[in-house]
Amino acid sequence: MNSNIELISSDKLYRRVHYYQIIRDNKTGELRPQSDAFSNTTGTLNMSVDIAKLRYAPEESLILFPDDSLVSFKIELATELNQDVIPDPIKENNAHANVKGEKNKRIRRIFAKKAEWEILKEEKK
Amino acid sequence: MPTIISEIEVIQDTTSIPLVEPIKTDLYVSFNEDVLDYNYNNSAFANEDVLINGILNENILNDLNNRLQKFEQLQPNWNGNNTWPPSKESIKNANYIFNLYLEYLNNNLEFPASIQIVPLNCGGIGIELSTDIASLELDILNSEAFKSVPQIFFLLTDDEKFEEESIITIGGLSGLFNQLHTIE
Repeated sequence: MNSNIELISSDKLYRRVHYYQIIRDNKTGELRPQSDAFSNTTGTLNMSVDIAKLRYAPEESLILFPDDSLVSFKIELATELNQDVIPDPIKENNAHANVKGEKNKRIRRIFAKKAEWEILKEEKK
Repeated sequence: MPTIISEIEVIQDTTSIPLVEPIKTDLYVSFNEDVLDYNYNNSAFANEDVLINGILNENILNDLNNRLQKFEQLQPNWNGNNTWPPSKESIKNANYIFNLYLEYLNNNLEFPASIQIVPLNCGGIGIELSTDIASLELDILNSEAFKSVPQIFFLLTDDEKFEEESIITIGGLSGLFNQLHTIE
């Protein structure tokens, strides 16, 4: 099963970003996710992501949330921030994984600044 | 990677949060039709410049209020499982902080500044105040907002050499505003 999939540091992970959590970066002038888009699920140490190489296309990660946007980051970034990446396939999402670890505001901001857009929807449908 | 220069200083404050009055724009805005930029973009992704040519932008107040009202309409699980909408108390706190910041700016009109806000997944309001150099992120959690002295989680950083992450109360915010605008 995918829980035994071999991950390498250059593998990409997808993270969904809600329309309301996109802001404009004051230095670059570009849109980026706000830090809270990289918070753990309430009461856990886990942040849900999709393993990109288990998706046919990035759009597949937004099927249930068509108004949202999608960013990616490499596993090596998570590792640098003392996070573990653990495959966690679930019934409705074979590519699901958890980025596990404490995420203070500093760590969340680094994710937010370094993540790259895969799909950016500038208008809410 | 940024170096942490100072960290974890919990500032105690015994003052209570005052009742929040509706934002009164005329209290803060020095209105000058010749200088105000009427091309302000009211989209969710607008660059929320508070100061334009040294004049406070009153449109920002309306936009922030409109957006807070939208956040208030969010439902549980608005951003996936176990995400929560901001409470009325969080919104009141955010509103109060806007007024504090705008009052601060009104006394320091030479500073560039922007305000952006987001709903927090765990329930609450995130505020990001930015200059050209540094940013101050403030998190007002629902679990704190109803308290008489709510604690606000903050990160002040220039993303290069300065970074401070800690907790503060509303009484200490003016000092943080000062720090934000004096980082070089």
